[in-house]
Amino acid sequence: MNWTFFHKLGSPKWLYEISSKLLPWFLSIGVSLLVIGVIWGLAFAPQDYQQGNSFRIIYVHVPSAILAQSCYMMMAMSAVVGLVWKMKITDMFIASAAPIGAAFTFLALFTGAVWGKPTWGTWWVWDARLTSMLVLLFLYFGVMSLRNAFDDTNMVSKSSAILILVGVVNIPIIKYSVEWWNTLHQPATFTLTEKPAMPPEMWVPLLIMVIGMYCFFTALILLRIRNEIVNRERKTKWVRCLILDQKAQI
Amino acid sequence: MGPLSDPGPKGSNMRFDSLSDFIAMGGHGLYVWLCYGTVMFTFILISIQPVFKRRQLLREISQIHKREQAQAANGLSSVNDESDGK
Repeated sequence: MNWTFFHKLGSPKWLYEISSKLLPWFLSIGVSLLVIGVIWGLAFAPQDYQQGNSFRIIYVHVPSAILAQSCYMMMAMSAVVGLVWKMKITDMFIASAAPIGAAFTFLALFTGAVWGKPTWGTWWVWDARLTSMLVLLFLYFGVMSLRNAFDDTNMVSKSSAILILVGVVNIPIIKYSVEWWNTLHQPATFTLTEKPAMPPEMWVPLLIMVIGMYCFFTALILLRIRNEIVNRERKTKWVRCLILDQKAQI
Repeated sequence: MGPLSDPGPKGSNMRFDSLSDFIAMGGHGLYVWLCYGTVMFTFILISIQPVFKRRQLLREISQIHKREQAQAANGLSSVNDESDGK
C-alpha cells in the first residue's frame, strides 16, 4: 500500500502550501456562485403561490442548514481519524471548523425563525427539528469552549474528539425529526433519490447556493487552518522563512 | 398572496417591475432583507476574522524571532565577530 499521501497529510508545511494554493480558487468560485445564487433567488426565481416572496428566504436557509450538519459530520470523521491515528491535521481541522459550523447553525436557526414568522405565525416552536438544531448549536459551542478549557494540546484534541462523537447522535435526530414527529417544519428540499417538489427555476438557484456555500465554507476552513498551522509550527524553520517572505512582500 | 406574478416583458424573467417592488417583496420585505442582511453580515465577519488573526499571529511570531535573534547576537558578539551587530 502506498502511504505517501498519508504521510504528506501529516506534514504541516505541505498542508500549508496546498491550502494557500487552493484558497483563492475556493474563495472566488464560492463567492461568485453565492452572488449568482442570491441575485437569481431574490429577483428571478418565481414566488411561492402560498408563501409569496418570503419563500426567497429558502435560498439562504437551506444551504446554511445543510452546511451546519455536514460540517458536524466532517468534524466527526476527523475526530475518529484523529483518535485512531493521532494525526495533527484532524485536530487542526476541528479547531478551524467548529466556529464556522456554529456560524452556519446560527444562520439556519435565525433565518428559520424569521421565515417562520410570516409562514407559521410564530418565530419559534419547541418542535423536534428546531430543538435538535439548537442542540447542534450548543454542541458547537461546547466543542469551542472545551478547546479553550485546557492548555495541553493532547488533552484538547482528545476531549473535543470525544465530545464530537457523543454529539453525533444528534445528526440523525435532526435529519429524521420531520418524519418521526409531527412538526411545522417541511420535509427535506433535496434528497438523493427523488426529484425536488418544486420547478427547476426554483431549485436550480438553490442548488447553486448550496454548491457556493460548500466552496465558501472550504475557503474559510483553509484560511483558518493556515493560522492553526502557523501557530503550532511557529518554532520551525519554514515558518521563520515564511514570515521573512511576508515581510519582504510588504 | 395572489398567483404567480407576471414574468414581465418577453425575454426577461425578472419578477419585479420596479426597485420599490423589489424592496417591498410583496409585503415580506422586512423578513427577506433581515435574513439576507444577517447572512451577509455574518459571512463578512467570519471571513475577516481569520485575516486579522493571521496578521496578529505573524506579528507576534516575528517579534519573538527578533527577540531571540537579539539575544543570540548579544550572547555571541563577544565570541564571534560575524554577527553583523544585529
